[in-house]
Amino acid sequence: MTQVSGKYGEFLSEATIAPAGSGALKGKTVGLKDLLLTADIAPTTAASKILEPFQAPYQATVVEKILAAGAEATGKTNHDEFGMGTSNENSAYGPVSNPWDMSRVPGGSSGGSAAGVAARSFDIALGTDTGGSSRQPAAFCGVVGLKPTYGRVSRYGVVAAASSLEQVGIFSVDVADAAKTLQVIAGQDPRDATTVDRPVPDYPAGLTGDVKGLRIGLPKEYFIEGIQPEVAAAVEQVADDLKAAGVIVSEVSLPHTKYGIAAYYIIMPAEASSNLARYDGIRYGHSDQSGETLEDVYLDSRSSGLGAEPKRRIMLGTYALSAGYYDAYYKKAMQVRTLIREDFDQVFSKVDLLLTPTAPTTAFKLGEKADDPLELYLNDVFTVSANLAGIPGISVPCGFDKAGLPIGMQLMAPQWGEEQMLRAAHAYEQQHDWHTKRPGGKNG
Amino acid sequence: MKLTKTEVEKIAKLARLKLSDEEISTYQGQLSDILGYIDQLNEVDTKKVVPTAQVTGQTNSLADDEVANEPRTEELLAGVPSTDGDSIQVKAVFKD
Repeated sequence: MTQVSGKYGEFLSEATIAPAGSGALKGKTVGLKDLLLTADIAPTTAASKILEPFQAPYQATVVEKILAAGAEATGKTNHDEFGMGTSNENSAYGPVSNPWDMSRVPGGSSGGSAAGVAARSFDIALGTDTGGSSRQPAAFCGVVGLKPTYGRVSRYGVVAAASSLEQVGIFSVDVADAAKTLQVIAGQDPRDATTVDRPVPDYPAGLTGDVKGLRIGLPKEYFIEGIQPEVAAAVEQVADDLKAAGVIVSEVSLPHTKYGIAAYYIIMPAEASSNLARYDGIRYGHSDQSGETLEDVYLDSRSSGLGAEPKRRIMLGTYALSAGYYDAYYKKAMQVRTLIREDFDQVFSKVDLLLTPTAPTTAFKLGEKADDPLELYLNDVFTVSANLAGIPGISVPCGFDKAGLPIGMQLMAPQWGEEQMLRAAHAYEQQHDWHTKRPGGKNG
Repeated sequence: MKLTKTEVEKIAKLARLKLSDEEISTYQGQLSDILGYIDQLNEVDTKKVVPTAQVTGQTNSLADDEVANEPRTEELLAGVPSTDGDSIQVKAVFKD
């Protein structure tokens, strides 16, 4: 019986897997989001009841790679069901709380991974990032969260939510560990046809500290009203700090930014409605055989096994793809996606990196937004565009608000631009000691 | 964009979800709100824009047609809810 454990609810399982070799991650412990298939240990539940009995018959490529590099996996981490959420309040097994203030959310969907690194339950963690699910909880929990370029890291053995958007995400205490981990998990995989045959640079060696002449743009559409003022101020300070290190900072424009959430919440649910069609009670997972016909098995298994948010997104996606609505919704969203990509292509001809807040606010209270799905979607406003465009992004701690809650800044690079993204992130990080702060645990 | 109860029932049927009356009503409201928000995409001129389906820049990543695995029938059947020998057993499509 899968149960939430850990002081912050960060675990769905504390089963361990010993290292399978020795390498760059020797001595490190890793938390694995429960969307990553692990053969031999624990069920892989996707934080859903519909996979509660599911013992994976194979291991995800990224899991094989980190074990081969010497890491020890010390548990499956809690998250929003099927990666759907921005607060980790949608796990079928129970929520995760933020180690900096246990009355608040850790962010989502990879809340357990982020909270666990913040609390040092494990040294690093793997999660996923479909619309911000690694970067946003990293910001809320005061740790580093990285989403690679789409196609950089294999999705083989990662439970699929939105196949054209997602990547495995990395959580760490500092940028150096994120670079080390990316080095280990990146690379083409014959078992994932969407990975790209492109050499993996030596990311750790790229952390030279030298950012002189690097051009960083602040997109004006990311500094709008409605952002918590302390968040905007902290990110503007990041720009000043980087300028002092020789970076050339300028204002840029990504005109279609405001349509990102709308496009995302058509494309993501559409792909998810297709990806979650396999959960039918026939070949694996939870099955309700109490009805008379085959269709009853589908209806009963899915209805009792899937949570409210997956059902909501499945229905949204089904509608957007259905006859008569495909052009108005799905095709339209795909066209807006092209315009968002072109916005990035445009600005990256002028600057090397973009600097933005990761999230519009710091961590909100558990339950505060839980009744309004749309309000929860809006937490992704600064992160979804990177997924739509397939570009990498990283969230790095850059301060705290008056309530002592972490603030994250986001750097984005063009596709395959992880090197300069990590170099700038590291250079900023080393000017400060945000990454050495640990939660004292208000209310915890 | 307000969805009717009939539309929600139709979507649920397509998605093979069984919903209670209360759920239909709740989802009807929430989906209508979300679709209302999404309507802003109509502000964007996309007349000449080619849709993006994927962002890898790759086409037709094919593998050689070679068998690379051993059969794992028993192992894979172990997780199947209802089996008959080496087959997955399912209920009848039609009621009698």
